[in-house]
Amino acid sequence: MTRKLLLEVAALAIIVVFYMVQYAALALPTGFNLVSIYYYALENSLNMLFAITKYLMWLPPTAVSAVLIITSIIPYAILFYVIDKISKFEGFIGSLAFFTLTPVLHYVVINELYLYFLPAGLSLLSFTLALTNTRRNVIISIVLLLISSLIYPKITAIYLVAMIVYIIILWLAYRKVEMKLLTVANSAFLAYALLNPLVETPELTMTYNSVPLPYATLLLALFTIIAIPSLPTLFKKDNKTVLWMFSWFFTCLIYVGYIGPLVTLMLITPLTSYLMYQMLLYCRYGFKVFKEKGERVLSIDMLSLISLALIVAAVSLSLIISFQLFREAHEKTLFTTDTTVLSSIADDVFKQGSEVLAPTPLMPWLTWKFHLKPATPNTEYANSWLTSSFTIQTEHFRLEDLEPFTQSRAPLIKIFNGTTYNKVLYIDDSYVKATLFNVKTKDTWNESIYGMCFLNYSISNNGYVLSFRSKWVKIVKKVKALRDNEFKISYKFTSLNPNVKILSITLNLWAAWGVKVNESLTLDNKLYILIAGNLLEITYPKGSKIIPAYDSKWTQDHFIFTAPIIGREATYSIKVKILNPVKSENKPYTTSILNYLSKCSSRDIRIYVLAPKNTYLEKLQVKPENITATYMISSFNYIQLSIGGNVETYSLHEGHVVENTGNQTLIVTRLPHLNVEFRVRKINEKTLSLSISGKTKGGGKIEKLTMIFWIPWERYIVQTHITLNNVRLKLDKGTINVAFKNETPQVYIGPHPKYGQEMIKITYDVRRRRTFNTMLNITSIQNIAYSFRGEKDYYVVYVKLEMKPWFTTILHLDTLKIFKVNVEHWCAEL
Amino acid sequence: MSLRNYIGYLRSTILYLKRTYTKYYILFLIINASILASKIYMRSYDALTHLFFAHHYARDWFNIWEYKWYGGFMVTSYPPFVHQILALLMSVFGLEYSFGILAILTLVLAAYALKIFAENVFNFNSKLIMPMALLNPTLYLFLYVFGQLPTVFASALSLLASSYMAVYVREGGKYYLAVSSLLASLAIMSHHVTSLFFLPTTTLLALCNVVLKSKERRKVVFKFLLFTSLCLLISLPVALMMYYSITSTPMQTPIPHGSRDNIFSNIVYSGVFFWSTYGPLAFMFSIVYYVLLRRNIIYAIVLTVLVIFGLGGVTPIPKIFLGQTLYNILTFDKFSLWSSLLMLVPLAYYLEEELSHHTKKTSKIVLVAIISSFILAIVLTFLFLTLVYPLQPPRPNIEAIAKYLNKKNGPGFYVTIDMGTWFKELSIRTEKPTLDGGYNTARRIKLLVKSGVESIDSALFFPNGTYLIREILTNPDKYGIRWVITVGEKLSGNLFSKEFTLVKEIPGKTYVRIWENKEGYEESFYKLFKVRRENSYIWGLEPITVGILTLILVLHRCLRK
Repeated sequence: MTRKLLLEVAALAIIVVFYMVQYAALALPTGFNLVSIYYYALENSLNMLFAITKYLMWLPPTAVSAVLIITSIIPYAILFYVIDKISKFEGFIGSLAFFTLTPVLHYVVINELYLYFLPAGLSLLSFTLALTNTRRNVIISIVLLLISSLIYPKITAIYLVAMIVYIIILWLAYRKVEMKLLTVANSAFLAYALLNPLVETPELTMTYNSVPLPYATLLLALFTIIAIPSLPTLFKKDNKTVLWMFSWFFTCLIYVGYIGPLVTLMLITPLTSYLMYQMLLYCRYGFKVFKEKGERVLSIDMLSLISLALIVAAVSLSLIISFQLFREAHEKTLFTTDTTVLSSIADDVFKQGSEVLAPTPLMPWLTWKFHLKPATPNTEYANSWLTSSFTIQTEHFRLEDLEPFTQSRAPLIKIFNGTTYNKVLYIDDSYVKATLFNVKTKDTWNESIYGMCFLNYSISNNGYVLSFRSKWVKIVKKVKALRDNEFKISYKFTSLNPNVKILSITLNLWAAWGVKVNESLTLDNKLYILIAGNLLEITYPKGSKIIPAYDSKWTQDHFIFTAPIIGREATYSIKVKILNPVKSENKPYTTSILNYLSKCSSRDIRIYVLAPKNTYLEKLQVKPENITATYMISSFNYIQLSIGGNVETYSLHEGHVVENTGNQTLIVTRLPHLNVEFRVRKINEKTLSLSISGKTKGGGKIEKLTMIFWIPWERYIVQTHITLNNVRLKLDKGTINVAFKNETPQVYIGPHPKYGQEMIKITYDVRRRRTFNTMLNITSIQNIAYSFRGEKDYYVVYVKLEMKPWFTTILHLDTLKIFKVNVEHWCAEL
Repeated sequence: MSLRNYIGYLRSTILYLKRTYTKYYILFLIINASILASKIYMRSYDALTHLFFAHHYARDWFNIWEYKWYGGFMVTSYPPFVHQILALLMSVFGLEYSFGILAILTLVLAAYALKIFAENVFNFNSKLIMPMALLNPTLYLFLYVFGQLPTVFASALSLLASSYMAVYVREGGKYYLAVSSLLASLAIMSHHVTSLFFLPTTTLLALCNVVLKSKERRKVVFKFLLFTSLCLLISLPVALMMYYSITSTPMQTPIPHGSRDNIFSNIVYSGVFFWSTYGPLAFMFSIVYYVLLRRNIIYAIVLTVLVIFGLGGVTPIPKIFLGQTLYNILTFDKFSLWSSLLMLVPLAYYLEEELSHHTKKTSKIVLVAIISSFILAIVLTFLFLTLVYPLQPPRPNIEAIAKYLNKKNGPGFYVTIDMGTWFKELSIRTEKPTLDGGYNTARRIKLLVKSGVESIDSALFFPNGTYLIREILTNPDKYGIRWVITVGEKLSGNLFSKEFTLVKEIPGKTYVRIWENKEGYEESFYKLFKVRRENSYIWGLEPITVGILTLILVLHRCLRK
């Protein structure tokens, strides 16, 4: 007996180790829904599994997963032992039963579905123990039932019905009422009544990233077919066992609509293994070899053959499912997130109470360990933000746009293939070009979004709009989902100069890397493409020319759309329709990280982005760039004096530098009738103060003071906003704000009448006073610096900005600290 | 008398109380006396609705037209017996105490009925049922929290009627035939839903028990038919008037009710419709079924059906059996009341017969535990509903509002918003009619019929309520509304922008504002408002005559015994 038990334990241990090695190597680091469990754990919801998990979170994620797997397997191990014991099964049936669990167990581990697997095991064990009819076991049974109800109360409803069915059958068969069973049923009812409204369990549909269990219904059907003949064969051996297996098995099957095929499989698979074993025993007698007239004759019972075939089918299907699951899990993995990254983050890196955006498997730990708040509780959004700046998802397609960070995937078009969204095509915004012609200078050149200033964006529930501009042209890009299987991308080019006209527009549509175009056909103004199993209909404007460029060894497959358009404004749009969409239950949504970032900048919240390497967000690492936003030349700052009725103009270029410390420059200009002090002072990182004060000598009176801020030639003004005391200037890079302190001047912004260079001309009407004193502050949302350059008879003061190119005009996020976490991840503090 | 004698009396009293169930009766009296003194039942959901009806009978006994609610409606749409008793009690004890006194009498009646039912249907003569029923928290919940006095009263009558019917079909006797049919017809005249569901259930249960044991089954069935015919004959005039009244009012759009949902997916619903209704009994299903499965399987089946129906939307069974229309009208908490009443019989049997035979001491401990849990449940329910989750807002100064309205001359409806059950008291105290009302089955105004909202006053708690309020407040002239009475700050801002002017503010625990629509409402008011005098002597006299006759018969028998 002891030897047998030892062997059984050894067999179980081997199987458990086998599973552990598999999961440690393959599944654990890529767990999909781990995050949903831990999020719930952090939210203190009343669920026993969440509560346990919460107290385990001091361990690394892999260890927590391992603990959960082991905890989930233990009830099944005990269950097999108990069934063996009470039903007197022979041999290693318990160990064998573990193998039938394989597909379900694989599925559970990959999808982190302990929320269902653990209570399913506990309920089965509780049900089995209740039937032993001893006082101790009934108490244990009720306790287990309670624990199971504290995790997933829906199973308790099934438990209750199964128990009632069993009690009724027992009463009908034996006219016997078991008070203990009634008590268990009563407890199940109460547990369900109390805990169902209280215990929060995320439903299976919420596990957004779950791989569908392939052939689940087929496996369920096979198990049912096996169960039907097996139950009567078992009846000879132990009819009570048959009765409880029957009541449990068929109640679960009836409730399949309530709990779904997956949980049903979890509930019935352990019993199926015993039924299969029974069937095998039966089959043993179906194949006989005997001697007849000296010849060996093999007699085969047809029923046994069918039974054997069924078992072989069930086992094969289980194996197929297991392998397929692993394959699909790896296909679907978004990031190969290495959870060990957590250990390389020092405890004082993050400021407590800040928000964090990170790959979902890391989020719970980051939020828990470092007391951070998740950027969003919606894991789908968080993943989208890490992969693209704008995302539109519908049932059948997903568009991932990286603008304005990079033009290379704008957007990447992914189409649902039944399991996942597969990359198919993409547009590179640097290849969406307009050929421009300057009527005056007769120059011709191309303009694309590449290198343009990002103006603004807007997002709706089914699309987004981005606008860009250069010195000559403004581009408005619109991406919109029209239907579940159709979307439209359009580019509107508007010339900003009356002399500049658009000659033509070109758009390239690229096949995604590693994807080949199989076939294409152009009909009317429609292009049909067969690509990666998808048939797409692309509608383009009439009059366009399509150049298919595929089947080439040297270039990536692509199509070039060109349209000759002459005018100051032109729109080019394409509509893409999926003609063979695959049915899916993906929820449609549109989201953008820009929305989140801009909200953060307005809320004054510190956020951390922990992103895997090679994501587009790595662009955040771009070092600040120094640009000259504006400068002042002393010879263009002048004062008009009236001396004895004559008005004379004095330029201030003959200044004498009295002080130049780096943070303060004082220039004193002594003129025959006037002394002027010009002071530039850096008040803080964001503000520069300029003050001019003067006093006339003799009878002169000051009429006007004029100062000019020049905009460098390489800059252009995007937007101006003038009020009485303030001028705001949005340049292609950076924004500056000039605030007038003492007096209100007249302001002119525009090109110099003679030189044509953009300038801000500030004129103070001093009204014949002998002294004046005025001050203005230049501020910027970026860090500001100034430099002073003095030459023979004039000096130049440069105001420089230290800024991040793509944040300047829109997000106003001024600090960006970057530190490396390890090789695979980097972290940005915004 | 010496101290020793006093101590001696005290000791003997304690010993007496220890031996008997008298202590439980004393407890019952203490609890109910305090409830009566605190008048907590006035805050219940429906008490004031029943008092409104009673007040109608007290004012004008034979007139079956009530003008104060919904522009006028027939009081024949609700069974009259309980309301008429209340009207009689009201003339002696006043409005507030009449309900409490009848509730206590109903409790005693229900407990007695259950004892008789156990004797005649379950064949179990128990001394324990009475105290258990008297302290059953379910009854307290239905009487004092839900205010469903007619339901409990009719349930008690149904139990009594079916018990006497069982005696009649088993043993015969004109007395039992008369009393059972009179009691059954009184149940019909007390509450319609109870007479539709519970009376047939208990009667059939009683009949089945007799039929299964009887050798003269044809005779039994014949007697049963005689009982049914007599009962129908007595109640027919009142029942027909009720039937006419209910069928002539349009079908109301279903009003959402928690008991129609899966109560176990919402903690508030499960709290109200399961944990409160069953109380400690929820933990005793196994004992009940253990007894029933071995002793009376029909009883078990009937109880199971009632329990399942009481769970409302938890299972699809009620919807399948009742059909969508009836399902949407009914509320299923009543089924839980009936099942909890029936559960007491097997429970008492288990304690008195099965457990005490084995271990008398354990039986006593269990009994004390059960009764204590009952009392604890009652106390907790009342504490919870008064301190944690008050059913009603604090009572505004109803007298002042009524006085103001009564002083005003001329036509026009008033409506109240967010006043809770107190708006029904206001309609008792004022002579002015309201477009609203507390008995939605009687509504005929299209807007209200289609609204899916219980009342205008509570509209903000219903999904469609905001629409209803907006419609009424933006078109007050269309609905003949002259006054809007708001409680607290809700909607006050909205009314400013409408055609209403603030005419009166009544400070108090709840701040009341009265807004008046100065003109334009008269024409619609006269279109919607109807004052009639429709005397019905059958409606006015029959229930009370049958009641007195039954009382005389029962008392006569008791006195003879």
